[in-house]
Order: sequence, then structure tokens, then C-alpha cells
Amino acid sequence: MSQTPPTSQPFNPFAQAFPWGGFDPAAASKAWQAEMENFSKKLGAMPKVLEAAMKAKKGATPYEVVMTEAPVRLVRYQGKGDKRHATPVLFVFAMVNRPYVLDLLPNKSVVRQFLNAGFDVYMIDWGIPTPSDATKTLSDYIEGHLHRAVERILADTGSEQVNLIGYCMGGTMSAMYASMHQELVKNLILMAAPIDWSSRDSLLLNWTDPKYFDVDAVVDTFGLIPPQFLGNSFAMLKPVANYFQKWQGFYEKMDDEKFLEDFFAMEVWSNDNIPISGEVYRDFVKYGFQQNRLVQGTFPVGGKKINLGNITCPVLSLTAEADHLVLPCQSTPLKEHVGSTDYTEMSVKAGHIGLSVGSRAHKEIWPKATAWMAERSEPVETE
Amino acid sequence: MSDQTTPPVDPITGFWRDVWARSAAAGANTPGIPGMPMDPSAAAQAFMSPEAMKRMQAAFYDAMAQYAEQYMRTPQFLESMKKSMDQAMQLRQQMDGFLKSNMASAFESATGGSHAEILGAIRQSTAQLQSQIAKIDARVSDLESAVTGKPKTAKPAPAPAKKSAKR
Repeated sequence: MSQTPPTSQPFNPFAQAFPWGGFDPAAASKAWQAEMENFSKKLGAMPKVLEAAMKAKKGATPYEVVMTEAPVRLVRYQGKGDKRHATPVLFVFAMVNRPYVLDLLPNKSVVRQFLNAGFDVYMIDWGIPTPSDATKTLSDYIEGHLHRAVERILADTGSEQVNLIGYCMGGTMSAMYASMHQELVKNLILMAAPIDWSSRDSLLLNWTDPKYFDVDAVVDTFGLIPPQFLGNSFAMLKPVANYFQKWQGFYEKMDDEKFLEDFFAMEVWSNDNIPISGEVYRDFVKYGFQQNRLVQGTFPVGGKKINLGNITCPVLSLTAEADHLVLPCQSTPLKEHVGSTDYTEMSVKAGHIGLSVGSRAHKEIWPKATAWMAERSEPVETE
Repeated sequence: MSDQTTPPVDPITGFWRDVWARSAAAGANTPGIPGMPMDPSAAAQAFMSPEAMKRMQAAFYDAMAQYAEQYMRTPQFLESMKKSMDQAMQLRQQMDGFLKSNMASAFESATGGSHAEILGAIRQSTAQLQSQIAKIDARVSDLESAVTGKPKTAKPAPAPAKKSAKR
């Protein structure tokens, strides 16, 4: 019986060359031969790898741009099914990456989950800021762009309210908006949104310690915070996974076309980093990470102080158990600060991005989340 | 109190010893206690399987990730991060200074800094104008209310925009 491992299995040269009984040249030779065959197979997959890399797209669902305030755009997704709910949905993503991760692939699209559930779906794309946007504040984005986007949606649809879904930093911004304009928000879903920065478990909180990180000096020097700075910071949170394990996994599965499609869609997105307005960055780092003011009711936005107690609509907080970027303990304290009596929490075994693109999330949490919103939405009136 | 049986090792040696010990333990499919005696034949069988390599790799990466995370929380790492950041800012300031003083005047062109200053001034002026208009609106509303006896309709004046300089 041959001791050569199957080519689909990881190769263990030590086991073949130095078994407990001593060195076996024949077994070692067979093992190396098998590994060389495996390597040839991987080389043969290179054309498919290149093809998959070239084919990777940004977003899966067609949309129309309904409003532009350069660089910000409001887009409306075109679903195939009938609309069954009167209140439209507005997605608000973070400002540090592009929002199409919420619509990455046809089978991994949170946008499609809501379209298929019968909602009218919009998304605000913050765009790529230019140096002229460096001095834009959180107020400019929340009270300006976001508020005008909501007004535009209300005008387009004839609805009196929107369902707001915010992801990560976009979730924090959505909570801020809801606290200032509760009358315009019917339901609020927050996906891995940082609310309470008191826990020191997060690496980011250690890195932004005012003793070591002078956010004023950084913002005053750079204006726009460079995308490489943000991208590398996020990657360094999991250096072994991002710089070693990912590529080893890629090598092992590079002859699997389905894997390649998912891999490159994710790679395109994760490398599509954008700069962020220095003033927004200053506010988030100083008043959020360093001073934890949101839960104290003193986070300033445009001269007002955010009071989460003003949020009285139904709230659904989604967290990812293995989230290393926004720990669940940074999101769940929201329950203690909102004024809502209808508050729900759901959690999934996934990472920060897995919450939107993970197979488990799409199977377990999104059907429940869309049902949660459907239960709290009014049906479309039929004539 | 120092351990008399185990001599102290330097951090680097301790790190590698622990990482390899964990990998070997995972490869042999043991509960992961380095140095514990095990049945040689069972260990050999476990170590021979391709799955063992997978477990060893996973254990190796887990150990590396754990050490990396621990290190990235230390004052030494945070100090080095601060120094790198200070150097990056210094370089940027020098480049900006060079471009402002030499390149812009040589080519009689505006710099990114000039754009930012102009746009900042426009933004500030816009905010001031909006604030003034809102105040006038409120006064008109007061007058209308006084004349017609109807309740006021004007919105309160927005808060003045904050400056983008250091706070």
C-alpha cells in the first residue's frame, strides 16, 4: 500500500521523510513526486486565476443613480419582484471602504435579500473624497448629504419615513441621524455598529490611545486621511490571517472556479480603500475612540449633542461573534441607551465582513432580519 | 519566586519554542501539552496523516496570531508606531513646505494647500451666510406673526459651522 497522500490533501514532507521508524527514501520520493504533480496542477490553473481576476466586478445588482452631490451619490436598486412594503430601505455604509460589499455577488448580497423580500432599496454611496472634502465634518455628511438623501427618497416614493440600515461606522452615523430625525425613521437596523468604546479589548482602541496617537496632528498634516493608512491599519489587526493564511488558502484552492470568483470579488473590495475626510476622522477618533462620548450623550455633531435616547423606533442590532474590528461588546450597549421599547439583538458566528458576505449570515441571519423589518412595515396599498 | 527546574529563556527563544511545541502537539493530535509522554505508535500514526499537517499549520498560525496580537498591545510596539507616524508626518510637512515654497512659485500654480484654504474659506462664508439668512427668516417670521396673529413658521437658526483648525 502506498504511503503517498492524495494530492488534494496538504502535503506533510516530515511525515514521509522522517516517520517514527526512521527515514524511508522510497516513501519520501513518492511524496515529493505527488507534491510536484499537485504543483503542476496549480500552475495549470493560472489561466483560470487570471480570468477570474479580470472578471471580478464591483457589485451584482443593477441600479440607477437618483441623486448626486459630488462625490456622494444616492442609488436605487432595481429588483425583479413586486414591492410589498411601503417604506423604502436606505443602506448607509462606512466611509472608509466602498459600499458594494453589501451587494458583492448575486448569492452574497444583502441588498438582494431586501429586494427579494419586497422592499424598495436605496443606498448612499459616499464616493471618493477629494482634497476639497477634507474639511467636511460629520454634520456635513449626516445633516447634509444623508438628510437630503432621505428627503429625496421620501419625495420619490411618497413615503413619510425610511427604514435605515447602517453598517459599521455607517451604523453609528445612522444611529446619530435617527436620534436627530426620529420622525423620519420607521425602523433602524445596525450592523456591527460601534456605539460604546469603553472596552480596551479592541486593538484599534489601543492604537488610538491619545498617549500614542495624536489625531489632531495627523488630521492637520494630512487633511484627507490616506487610504493606505486605513487599509494597512485594518489588515494589521489580523496580520497572520491577512498576510499568510489567506494566501496559503488561495494556493490550496486556486483550481476551484467558485472559490476564485468569491476570492477575487472580496480582494477587489478589500483593496478598494478610499480616503476619509480628516474632520470626520478627527471626530470619530477623538469623541468616539478616545473619549467615548456617544453613550454619554455628549458626542457633538454640528453644534448639537447626540442623545441616543431620542431613538424610539424599533431597533435591530446585528453583531458578528468573531468580529475583530467592532467587537460585539461595542454594539450591544445600545440597548441601554435608546428610548425604544422594541429592541432586538441577533448574532451570527462570523467576522466583521462575514456579516454581509458570509454564507452563514445569508442563511441564518438575513432571512430573519428581513422578516423582522417586514413585520414592522406597512404593506403597499393596492388600488 | 524563580522556577528552579526550568532555566529562564529569552523572549525570542521562548516564542519559537512555544510555537513549535504547539504545532508538534497538534500534529500528533494530542491535547496540546508539550512534553507529555504519549504512545509512540499512536503518535506515529497521527503524525503520518496529511490531516496532521493541516492541524500543525493551524496551530502554528494560531500561536503566531496570538503572539502578534499580544505584541501589538505592548508599549514597545505603540511607541514604535508613534515614531513611524511622527516620521511620516514630518516627511509630509517637509514635502508640503518644499512644494509650497519652490514648486508653486516656480510654476506660478496653486497647490493642494491653496485649494483647501480657498474651499475652507468658501465653506465658512457659506455657513455664515446660511446662519444670517436663517436669522433674517426668523425675524420676518416674528414680524408676520405680529402682524397677522398667526403662529411662527420659521425654523430656528442652524448652529454656526465649526472651523477645521485644531480643537
